[in-house]
Amino acid sequence: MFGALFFKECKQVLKSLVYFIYVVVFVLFITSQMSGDSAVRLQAPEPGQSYYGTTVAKDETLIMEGTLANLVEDINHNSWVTYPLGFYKGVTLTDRETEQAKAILERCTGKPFEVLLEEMAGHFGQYDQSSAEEMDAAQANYRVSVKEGFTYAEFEAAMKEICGLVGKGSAYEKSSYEYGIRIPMTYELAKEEFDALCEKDRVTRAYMRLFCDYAGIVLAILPIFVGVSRALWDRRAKVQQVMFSKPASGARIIVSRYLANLVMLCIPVFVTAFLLQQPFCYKAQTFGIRGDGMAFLTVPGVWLLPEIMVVLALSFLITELTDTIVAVFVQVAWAIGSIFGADVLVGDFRMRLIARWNTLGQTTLFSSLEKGFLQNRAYYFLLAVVCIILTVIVYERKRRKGGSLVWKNTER
Amino acid sequence: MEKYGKVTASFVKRQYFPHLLLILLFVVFSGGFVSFRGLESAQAAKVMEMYVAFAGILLFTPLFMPEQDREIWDLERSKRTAMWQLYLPRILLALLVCILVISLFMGLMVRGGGNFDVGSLLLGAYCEILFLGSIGFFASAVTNQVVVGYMIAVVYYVVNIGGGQYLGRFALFQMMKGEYGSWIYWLLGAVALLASGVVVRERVRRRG
Repeated sequence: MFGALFFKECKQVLKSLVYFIYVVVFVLFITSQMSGDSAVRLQAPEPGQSYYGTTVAKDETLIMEGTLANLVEDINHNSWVTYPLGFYKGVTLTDRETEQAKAILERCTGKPFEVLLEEMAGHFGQYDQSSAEEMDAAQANYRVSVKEGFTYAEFEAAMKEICGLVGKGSAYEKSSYEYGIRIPMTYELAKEEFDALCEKDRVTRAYMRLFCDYAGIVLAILPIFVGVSRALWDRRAKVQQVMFSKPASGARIIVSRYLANLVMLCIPVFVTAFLLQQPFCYKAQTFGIRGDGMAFLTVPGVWLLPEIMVVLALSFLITELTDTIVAVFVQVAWAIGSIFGADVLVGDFRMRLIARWNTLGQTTLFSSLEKGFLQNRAYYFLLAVVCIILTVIVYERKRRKGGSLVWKNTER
Repeated sequence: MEKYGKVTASFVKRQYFPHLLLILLFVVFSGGFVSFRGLESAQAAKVMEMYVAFAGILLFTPLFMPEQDREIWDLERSKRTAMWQLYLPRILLALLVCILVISLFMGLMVRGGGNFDVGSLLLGAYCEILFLGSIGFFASAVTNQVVVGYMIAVVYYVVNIGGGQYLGRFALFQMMKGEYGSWIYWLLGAVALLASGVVVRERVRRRG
């Protein structure tokens, strides 16, 4: 009976316009973002290159110097990026607050702000402004030295004062700057990274992480509509009472419906991942290694599956509970907050719905963050399970009541 | 006239009220998401284009909600009243609320002591937010599914975050880049989509 219900639900999903739009938007988005020449550009580093990309360093001096460099730029533009509630919030300081920020900066560096500005202009002037690579290198190399004898504890206290001025969720929060500072890689480091990419990630796994980064953005949003549409379908088609009268338990109906939607949502993800992975399997061969052919299943399975699960499960729960489309507003707000709320585009795995990894490689960094990443995904997996259990409970209560728990008999 | 007033009041009471409530929450909690103090042109445009823009989606997409119910739709079809007569008061109501919301945000930003051209930003914001809302409106009209309307409007918004170059003159978030000339395209697009939405519903009605 469960199997029959499951396949019936799959057919139902296939007939849905929302699902069709989901597939089209997902495929168009992911193919437009994953540039076709990534495989061609992936090369072993050669000695003597001008730029090898960046890596993250957690050295205290580097953290202080990098954070103070950001501070000079933020004071100069008076444009402070914060994420107080997970959403982007641009903050502008008053003249008095700006003066206070300058005084804090001067206390850390021992130099007047005007001198720091001149140094900044001098630094960026050494690079070719028309080249994106040069500008990346300029940004990665920009540092502001602390004054002699200035300790990390003093720096932490100073940054706390800055947070007091700009508000919560800025780059000057301890949790943010402790993540580390991006520094330019040397040839040796770049070679080490490349070897890790070949040996540990077997190329395809690294590429699948980049795939998951882009796919994770749309998968935080699109499944909401599939879930809401399906959960409202019975009511809209006026078959809710018929469904309530069926002998199948609420658990069987909801779980089969949920799994059918989940499977149908996952199919385009895995098929697209499989197709996009192929050039990288070939690329791995050119490096003399065998790419991980199953990466299209294993990496998105851990990375994206919990995300799709929780988005879908929550849309089921909210829609069953309210019999409205309110899940669309709540969850779109959550998803957009998660998109804009990432402190960094590589490795911000705190309780974020969307796990960002906007780079091809950085295998060593990923290994160091893997535990946090797995905890994040396990949390969302469990949350999805809880949401579905709650949905079953709500469904059974509605069944006993004979209709909506919230509304009387109006269409919403 | 009284008839349209009653029909619109019934629409507000039965379907539109939760959306108006959401708009109220959207305004009340805005201080937690956006800052209104001392904004420069690009920052003020960002508040309008990336935050207030959602008001358009919230207000214009659910205007066909009653017709999702087959019984209401059959009843409306059986009457001699043209569809545009039914939808025009709803559109005007959404437009009025939308203008109020945008003006309120503008007032907050002006009070915060910003440095931007109020007239250009206001004109652009009205047109852009109306255009985004009309996308949801039109998608709902064609599919008779409000969820699809929201989906298309939200996808259009998200596509503009990284792929505005593919959308030509109808790309959103132009004022953030200092480009204030797109308002006419947004306005024309909005008028075309709103009118087309009503025409589509009229055709569906006649076809049965």
